[in-house]
Amino acid sequence: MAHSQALLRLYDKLNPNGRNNRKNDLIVPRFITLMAKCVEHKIPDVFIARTHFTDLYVLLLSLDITNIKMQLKQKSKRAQADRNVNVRDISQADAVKFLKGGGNG
Amino acid sequence: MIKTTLPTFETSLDEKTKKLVTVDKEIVVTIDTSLFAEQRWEANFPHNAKNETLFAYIERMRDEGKIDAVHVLSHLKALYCFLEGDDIADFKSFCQLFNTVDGKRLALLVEKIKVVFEIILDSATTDSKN
Repeated sequence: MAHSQALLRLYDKLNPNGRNNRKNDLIVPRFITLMAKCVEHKIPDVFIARTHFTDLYVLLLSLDITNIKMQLKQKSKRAQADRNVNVRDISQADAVKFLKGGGNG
Repeated sequence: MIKTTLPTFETSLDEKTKKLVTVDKEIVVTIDTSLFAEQRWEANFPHNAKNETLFAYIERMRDEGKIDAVHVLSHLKALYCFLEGDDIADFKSFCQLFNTVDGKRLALLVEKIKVVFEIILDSATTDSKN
């Protein structure tokens, strides 16, 4: 399934060390996992009871993909912010001055 | 919930002629295609559920052209998970509703299973390949 494969790729991006532990995630019965996801995404029980299994499954995967994409964006924003502490934008003249040993002041 | 009927039978002993009389009947059931069908699959047939989802199972059976009399018991397992009705108590009593010995009645049942599986697979707005 394209959605689930996309989700696994995103999980790997978010948590590269967890790739080896994924086998353990499958021990929980599918029904429990899906109900937990429904609770997490606050899906009403009437909707769960009336929606086709496949539709509900695709909806949950889509919501997860959206969430993880947002988390990845935030992660990359944080990483950029951290890098900015050490990296400074300097002018060409300042760069030449620095290379000539004149410091950056 | 989709309402449909299933071909069943009832056999009784005719006291006058001392012969068995089989009468064809129909039971009204509703098809539940929600997550709870999957829950019944996992609860009643964990060995099958370990390998694939209920929906993946019937899709595979359809694609492989295996919805036939040979695999009828497996199909009854799947069908049992999808159906709700007053006549369905447990899997054993569900199986006893059908005549799998009589060729004609079995063919009728297999045809009905085919239709029900098609309805189940076609009633989703997305397909499992999404």
